This record gives sequence, structure tokens and C-alpha cells, in this order.
Amino acid sequence: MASSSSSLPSPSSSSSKKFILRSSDGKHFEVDEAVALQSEMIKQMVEDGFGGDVIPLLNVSSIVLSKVIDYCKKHVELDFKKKMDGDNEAHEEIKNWDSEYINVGVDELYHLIMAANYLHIKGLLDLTCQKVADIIKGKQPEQIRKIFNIENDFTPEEEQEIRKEHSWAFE
Amino acid sequence: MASIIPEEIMVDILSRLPAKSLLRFRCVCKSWYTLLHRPSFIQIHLNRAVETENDRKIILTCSGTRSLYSVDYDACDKAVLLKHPLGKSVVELLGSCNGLLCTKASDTGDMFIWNPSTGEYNIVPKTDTKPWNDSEVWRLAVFGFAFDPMIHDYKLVKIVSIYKADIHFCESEVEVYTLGSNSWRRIPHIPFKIFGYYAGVLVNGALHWMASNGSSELIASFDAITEECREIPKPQSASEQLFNLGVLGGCLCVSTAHGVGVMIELWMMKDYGVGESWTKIFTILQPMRTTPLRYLKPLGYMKNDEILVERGDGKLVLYNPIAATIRDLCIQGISATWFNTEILVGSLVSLYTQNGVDGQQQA
Repeated sequence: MASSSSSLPSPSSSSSKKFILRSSDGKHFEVDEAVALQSEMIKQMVEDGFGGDVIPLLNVSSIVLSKVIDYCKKHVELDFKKKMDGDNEAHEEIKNWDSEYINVGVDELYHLIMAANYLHIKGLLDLTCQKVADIIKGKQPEQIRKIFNIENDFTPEEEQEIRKEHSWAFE
Repeated sequence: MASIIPEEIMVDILSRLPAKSLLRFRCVCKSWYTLLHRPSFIQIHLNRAVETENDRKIILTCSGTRSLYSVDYDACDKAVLLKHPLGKSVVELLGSCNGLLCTKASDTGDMFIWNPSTGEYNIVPKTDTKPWNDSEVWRLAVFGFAFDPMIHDYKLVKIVSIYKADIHFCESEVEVYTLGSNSWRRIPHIPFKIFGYYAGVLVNGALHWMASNGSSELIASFDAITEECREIPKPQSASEQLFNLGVLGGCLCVSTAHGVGVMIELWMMKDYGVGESWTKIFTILQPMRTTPLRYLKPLGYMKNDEILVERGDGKLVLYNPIAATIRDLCIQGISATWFNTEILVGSLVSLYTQNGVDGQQQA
């Protein structure tokens, strides 16, 4: 990670306040305050006085949490860079980093969505929802059912009728 | 992926998809079918489509054929023939709003409002034609199509400019059609004559045309909510001839010319209604042409910041504001000239669910 030689405080400066997050499987993650506060849910907990020692995150496993923390760390860093270097360059870097980060399988994507939703991390929720949208955009209904594990509760006749209504959408 | 994605997240994901995908996904299961027909979802999807501009089409009518084409805005590669409700007629575009297109057959005068994404359409009843008064020498109708958020309904406006032997006479009849009532009504005359044959340009909830008050040229606006007509300040350069209106990045634009079309400029009103905010976007110097360009109508920005422009010689061109260059846009499947273009956003907006209610008042 690039270290900042400027006199301004770096976002990852060791002097900043730390939080300990506990995953659903009991693992502890020590993170900087700025990183933890990317989560609106944690921010709310802290404001309500729960920021003391360990913040339990009952719905997020350690594997997913570690990936979420990667996202938050990088975005704290990039937000800081944006303030320093101006908008355009950082914007491009965020875009590239995000697209690399989100290049994961459907199952991992699902867990990230659920975590981003639970932790209220708007940027991550946006990124994950857009990724799912991009994946399913060109798919056929049968593939959609498979991806989301949805049972087709239409009779074949009903389904045929709906398909006929918008036949051009299937071309 | 596990199936228990909360509905609000599913709505978020689905609202990012193009209309075509959503139509296909209506047959995934019953709950998706219901969700993808729900007016509140359709509204969320529309809002996002308008904001992100990632599912836009250029709708164009083509000279030499009676066809209506759709071109993907971002790809701008090939034209797809649209099966429109007017069948074999030559089609005029009267306006586009929220994914709905209003069209008119040049021969029969039949008008339709339709959603080309879903195929749903509604026939607009004909207006009563008043017999001409003896003193009248000509009547010229223009149209415009807009959404009225107050009554959550779509309005088609018809303005008929009356020309009399007295050239200073300046009045137009106005009729307003609302989709919800499927009927026309007359509203008071306006003290302007509207120029041109093109559809009203929709900016800031109002329709705009070039007009005259009998002595000078002006920009007239028609507010979709109040149904009032007023004058919009124009760029402050008296020597210029104003031509055509257009919209770019949500701002009203006008093309102007110096001399006999030697130099064409495009101006943008950055703050709506504020005369001082008119800013020159670019100038095109025309080499000696046999037919000077009559107008430039901006249609929108491309992803690389080029500006898509309908040019007065019936071509679509891309203007690069940084390099100040112009290139012709070649679209597969159509001849080189167009009559008219509209930008259409892909939406599931239904013609039969005004006011957010599923009223099945099918025509």
C-alpha cells in the first residue's frame, strides 16, 4: 500500500481509533474507525453507544466480512486520494478497482449483497446489484430461474401465453 | 444464488435492466410477473432509466420509405425496423416522453400513443376540424407530447396557427388531449404563431417551439401542468437568425445562423428561463454549399462526450467539442437521410395504469 509522505494525516494512520468487528463464526477483525464507518449500520451503532469493544456482526461470516473490509479499506483510501488529487484520476481508479473486485462468482456475489444490505454500505450494494444486473441482462427465463433458484409456478400454457405477448423480447 | 434475496434488493437489481430483459423475465414466475407489472416498480425503473440513460433508442423516420426505425443510442450501429401501429403509412413523430412515443400518419391523420418497448398503444381520437373563416388564408398545426406530474397523465398538445391576409394577425388555437380521459378539449387561444413542422421540444416539463408574436421571432413554451403559453428569453445577439430548438443534457438549445447559413451556432440555456445563461456550445463554419444547412437539432451527448446532432440536410452527425470536428454517423440498414428523430427511453410505462392504479380500461 502506498504510504503518504505529505503532512496531512493518512487515512490508514496508526494513531486513528480502532474498532473490532466480530464475524458470525467468531473471528475478530481490527479496523480503523474510518473503515468501519463506511457501514451506516455500524455508524448508527456507534452513535447509539455500542462502539465500545467488539461489534458483533451476526449475519456476516468471516470470509465475507474480510472481503467487505477490503472494499471499505480501499474506498476510504480512494476517497482520501480523491480529495488530494482531484476528481478525475481517482474516479478512474475507483472504477477499475471496483470492476476487478466484483469479478466474482454468483454465490459470492449473493453473500456480498446480503452483507452490504445488512451493513448498509451503499456503494457496495450499488456495485453488487449492478453486477447482478449485468450478469442477468441477456439471459433467458430458464437461466434466471436457475441463478435465483426460482420455481416456475406457471403452467406451460400460461407461460406460452406470456411469451406470446412480448415475443419480440425473446428474439 | 440462494433464492431469499429480499424484495427491495430484487427491485433494485431489476430496475437496472433494459425494458426488453424485463419483458422476457415476466414469465420467470408469478411473483416476478406481478412485480414487473406493478406501477410502483415501473416508476422506479423509469426514474433510473431516465437518470442513467443506459437504455435509449433513436427513433427515426426515413425518407424514401414508409418505415420507422429504432437505433440503439449507445451503439449507434444498426437500424431495426419497428412494427408500428400505423401499418403502411408515412409516419410523423409528434413527441417522446417516458418511453411513450406519439406518432401520426401523414396520409390519414390517424394518431397513436404507444410504447414501442411493450407494444401497447392507444388510438388518439381525431379533433374536430373547424371550418375556415373567410379571412383565413392558411392553417398550420404543430404538436407536442408531455407528461403532467400533477395529474399523473400524458398530454398531447395541438396548436393550430391561423394565417390571415393581415400579416400582423397573430393567434393560434390550442387543443389538449389527455390520455387518461382519451379526449380533446379546447383551451384559450394564444397570441403567437408557431413555426415549423417539428414536434415540441420537451424541457423542464414544458414544450417549446420557435414562434412569432407578429413582429418578431421568439421561443414559445407551453407548460404541461398549467397549460399556459409564454415567451422564453432568447440569446442576446440581434443579428442572428434563430432556427431550430433541441435539448442537450436536459437544457434547451437553439441553433442560430449568421448570414445565409454561412456560420451555424448552437446555443444552450444553462439555467432554464434565465436569458443571461445562454451559452454558445459550438460554431460550424460551412464551406460553400449548394444547399446551406437549415438547422442543427442536438439530440444528446454520447458516452465519449461527442454530441449527436440531427443536421438540416437530413443527416445524423457527431460533433466532437474538444477537437471541433464533425463526422457522419453511418447506421447500417437505412439510407442516408432522415425526416425526423426522437430519443426514446426504454420503459414499461403502461397506457392503462394512470394515477398508479391498474385500471384495465383497454381501448
